[in-house]
Amino acid sequence: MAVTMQTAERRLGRRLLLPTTVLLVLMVGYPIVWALRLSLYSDSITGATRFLGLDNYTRALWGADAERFWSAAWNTALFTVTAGGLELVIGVAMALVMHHLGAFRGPVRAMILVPWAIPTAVAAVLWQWMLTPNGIVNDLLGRQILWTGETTAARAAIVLVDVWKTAPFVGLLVLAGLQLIPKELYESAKMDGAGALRRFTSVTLPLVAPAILVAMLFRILDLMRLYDTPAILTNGANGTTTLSLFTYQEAIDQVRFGYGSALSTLTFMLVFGVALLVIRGCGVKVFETGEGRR
Amino acid sequence: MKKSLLCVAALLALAGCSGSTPADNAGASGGEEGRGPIAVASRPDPGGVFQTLADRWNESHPGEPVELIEQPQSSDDARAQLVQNLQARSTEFDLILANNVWISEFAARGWIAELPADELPADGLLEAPLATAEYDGALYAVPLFTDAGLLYYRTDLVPEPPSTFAELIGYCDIAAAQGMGCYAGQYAKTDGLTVNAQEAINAAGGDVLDESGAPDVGTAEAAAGLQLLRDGFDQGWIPREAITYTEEEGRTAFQQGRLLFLRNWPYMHNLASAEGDGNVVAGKFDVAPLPGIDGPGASALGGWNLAVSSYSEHPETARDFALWLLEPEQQRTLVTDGGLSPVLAELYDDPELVAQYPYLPTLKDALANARPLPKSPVWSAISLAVQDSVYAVLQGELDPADAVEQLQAALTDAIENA
Repeated sequence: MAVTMQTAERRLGRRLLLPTTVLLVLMVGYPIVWALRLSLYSDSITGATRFLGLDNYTRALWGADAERFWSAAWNTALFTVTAGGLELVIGVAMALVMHHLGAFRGPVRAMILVPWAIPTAVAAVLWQWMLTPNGIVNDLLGRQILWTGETTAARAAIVLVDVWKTAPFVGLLVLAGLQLIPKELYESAKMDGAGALRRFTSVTLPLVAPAILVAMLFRILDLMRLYDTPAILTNGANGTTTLSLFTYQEAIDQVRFGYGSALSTLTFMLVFGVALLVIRGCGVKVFETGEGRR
Repeated sequence: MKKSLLCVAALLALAGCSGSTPADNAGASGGEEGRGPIAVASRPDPGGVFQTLADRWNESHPGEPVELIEQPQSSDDARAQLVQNLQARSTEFDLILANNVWISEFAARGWIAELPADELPADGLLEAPLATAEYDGALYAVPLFTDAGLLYYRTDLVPEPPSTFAELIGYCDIAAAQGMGCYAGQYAKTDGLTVNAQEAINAAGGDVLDESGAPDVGTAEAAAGLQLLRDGFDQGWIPREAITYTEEEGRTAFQQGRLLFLRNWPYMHNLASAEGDGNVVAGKFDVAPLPGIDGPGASALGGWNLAVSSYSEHPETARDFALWLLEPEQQRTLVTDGGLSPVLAELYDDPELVAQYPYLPTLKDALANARPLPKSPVWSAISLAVQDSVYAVLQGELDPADAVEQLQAALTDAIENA
């Protein structure tokens, strides 16, 4: 009797999942499969395509475009590590500030979140004005830095804009994690004689780690697809062409959907691989903190 | 929980709304086959000149009204938007105002329809702009307005405009004494850099593509042209910040009195002549043909053409409107109301217009010497390759001689890979 109940329930569950499954297959599965198919075909002005096998992939990985592809991959990695790292540190700091503010928490939180609410493209244009050779940033610094005209400065500008915009988002995610930590833990830690630093490293950090990890994963996935800021600020000049920008230049600017699909598939595989590494690599730690909590 | 469900429902409702567009009422107006209301993908229109022309047409053609839809400001963005529309065979636009360098590609892809050449005005059209409207021996567009680069210079500081770069560099002491930059063009990594690179290469006697459309840039002349721009940055007669300049940054610098010479398009003449708001050069500047190396230089030919979309439902009206815009009355309005450069030769000598726009005779000479930009279905790949190589030269990362070799290979690949 119990067994049949269970089977019936399972069957109902499966049936209830059906609409979602169909939707996912249509919205996610179909485009992926179609892009994979496209990536195996050539592009031509006349619209006649022929099967190429993996030629589009070899062209990017070690063929005529290898230099451009790998430099874009390297730029993307650089932005992911620097901007992601800074956002994490600043975001956690912001979260701690917001968490410990009593009465002003609401207004401060709203203020910190303003940059995140501004669309990326608008933020990039705003910063573009401020970063012109005779703009306000150089005026305040008292020197003329060509923010969009030199490799180091251009990369720094893009990291700056991205950190300015997304550190608050990381802060918000981490703040949510902080607010879940029961007060009693701090009280008992205090009774056990733990100082402020010890309480931070032994109570706060381990318990907020899952939230930080989720924020980190979000940022890594996002930064590996970084497009709008470099597209607007530098148009990819001076070592700021990311994988997405390169893909856009090929797929949209030059109407090469086959080659563009190959590039986006490569980007997808890179992002997927990194995400898997992060989840597997750090997921263990999440599990351990979970055990420790019990 | 209930609240969030409500939110989701609201979002879905919104998505539903935007999904169902009002029914297409094309054909409702009846009339002949291929005639009816048309939509034109036109340029941003701050002075309202395109709207004036459309209103004039609409008054006399009540059954075939024209609606203008603005493209994005930047030419690169405008092209991206058009490409997406045309790729999807969208019927949104009937007539497309296209940068003349896109015509070959759009025609080769079958996105724009061939036009009967015998319906053009028999004579009076400038030849160079008309040539940009042709592809593979057939007419695919009509030129609406044209463009050539001019040398803007400060008449209060420079007695005679320079006709060569040697003369120009000779004036740079004046700029130094005034604490201003000497010369600049468009060197940020956009299509503007392709234009400036071609002009430098042309000035030195080289070319990007040969007559047949094959890459011809791996030459000592082309290298000499790029060396000239590189020298400008190395020797300081092009200010360092010019590496970030597109048309507008250069115009701002010139109007703020930070530049002695500037290569720019005619559009800036009106703006720089208007007094006020930080503009210190009103009445203190003039234009001259671009300088060259041994004599006057040659501008690259800009300009925009009107092409009928292959997916238009009312192509007859679209074609008639395009041809109507070539009539002297409409072309004159383009000049008087918009400050655009007409494609009818007679208007450049018209005393009334010259009184309003004193640069017209200079522009006529510049147009007569102007060289077309690379005419190829893979223009955007060519432009990107030129930008990559030339930008590296200007940044001092690549030797001009190596750059032209590399560019030759990249162009060959781009054309073969089409």
